[in-house]
Amino acid sequence: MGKNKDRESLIRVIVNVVVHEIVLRNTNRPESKNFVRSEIIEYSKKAKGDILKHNWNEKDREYIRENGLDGVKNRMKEKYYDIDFDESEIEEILNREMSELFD
Amino acid sequence: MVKILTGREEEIIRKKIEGRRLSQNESNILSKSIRPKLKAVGEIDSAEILRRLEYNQRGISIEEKIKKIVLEVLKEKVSSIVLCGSAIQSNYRDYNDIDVIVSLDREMEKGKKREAVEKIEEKGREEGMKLDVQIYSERAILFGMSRNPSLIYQLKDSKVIYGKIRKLKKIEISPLDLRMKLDWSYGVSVKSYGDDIYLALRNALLVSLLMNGKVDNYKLKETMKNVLGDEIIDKLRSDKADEDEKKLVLNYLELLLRNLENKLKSEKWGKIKIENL
Repeated sequence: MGKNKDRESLIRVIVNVVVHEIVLRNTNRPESKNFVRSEIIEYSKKAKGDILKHNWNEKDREYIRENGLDGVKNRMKEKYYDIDFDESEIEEILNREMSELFD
Repeated sequence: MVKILTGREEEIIRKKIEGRRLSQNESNILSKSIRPKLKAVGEIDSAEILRRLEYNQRGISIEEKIKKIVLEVLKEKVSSIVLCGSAIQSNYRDYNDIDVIVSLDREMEKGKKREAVEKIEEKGREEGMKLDVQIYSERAILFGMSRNPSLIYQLKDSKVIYGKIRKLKKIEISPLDLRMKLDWSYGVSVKSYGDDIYLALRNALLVSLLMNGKVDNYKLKETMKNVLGDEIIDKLRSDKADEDEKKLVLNYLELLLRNLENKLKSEKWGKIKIENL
């Protein structure tokens, strides 16, 4: 029940977590790090709860990863276009967050 | 009867309403004392305040249980325990969960923090309470207040049930932090849970109030009611809103986001000052 809705919620959390980490890394704002981290823990808690409700196979994970990746790219392009960052950071952070959530 | 205005002030009001000429001194009293008093009275939600002032034995017992659980899990590291959110604002009459902020006298490693949060929430469940716990170091709360819009709102109208919390009286918040906060309003669609849509809109309205230098949980609640109405709010929160209702809210959210993003991006927005925290 509600697996698709939970999947959309997860993608939303992952996109924000990755985008904020990139913004913080590349705007020299170490003082904000603690709190963005706390906010991330807060949302990840909800995401973890959503994950535990269902069985997620490889196809599901791949869907979340791909949509997360597209979401991050779009957000960085449309909203944070003034921030310089290395594209490889996206995959690096995304993969780390995915395994923190699912493993 | 309790008097808010002095006899002199009442007389000045009468004179002004009757169109009689006021002296310079009376005009000063009108602008510096009477108008601000009347404005402040109009902004007070007296029903809410009276509700919070009521004695509630159940609340006292809940708070004792929370205190015991947190101290059991985190022991002597705890410098304060603060409750916030709808439980406190409604004096335990209307809430889904209880938001708990724990401040520690030292930093705690991320993994251990997560573990402690889970343990406290688990013990809360055993006691029949749905706790939503956040743990910060004392230092992080004090110096980070101006970087965490959610925390600013949570600490306003909160209740300290253990220890003492040091807070800043005024802060300056940067547009970038608000832009990041606004991100939590993106990514919802008709396919999302109603509650996610509700929280996305609430988040955007919170940012909008902060941009106007306001930290006011009651105003936020009122604005939500004015924008959506009680019925839609209930439907969203219980995930019973249909597609058309969700679309309506999402359209409003989209317009609001566009408007807020433009304001935040415009150069005239320096740091935003927020006082009376």
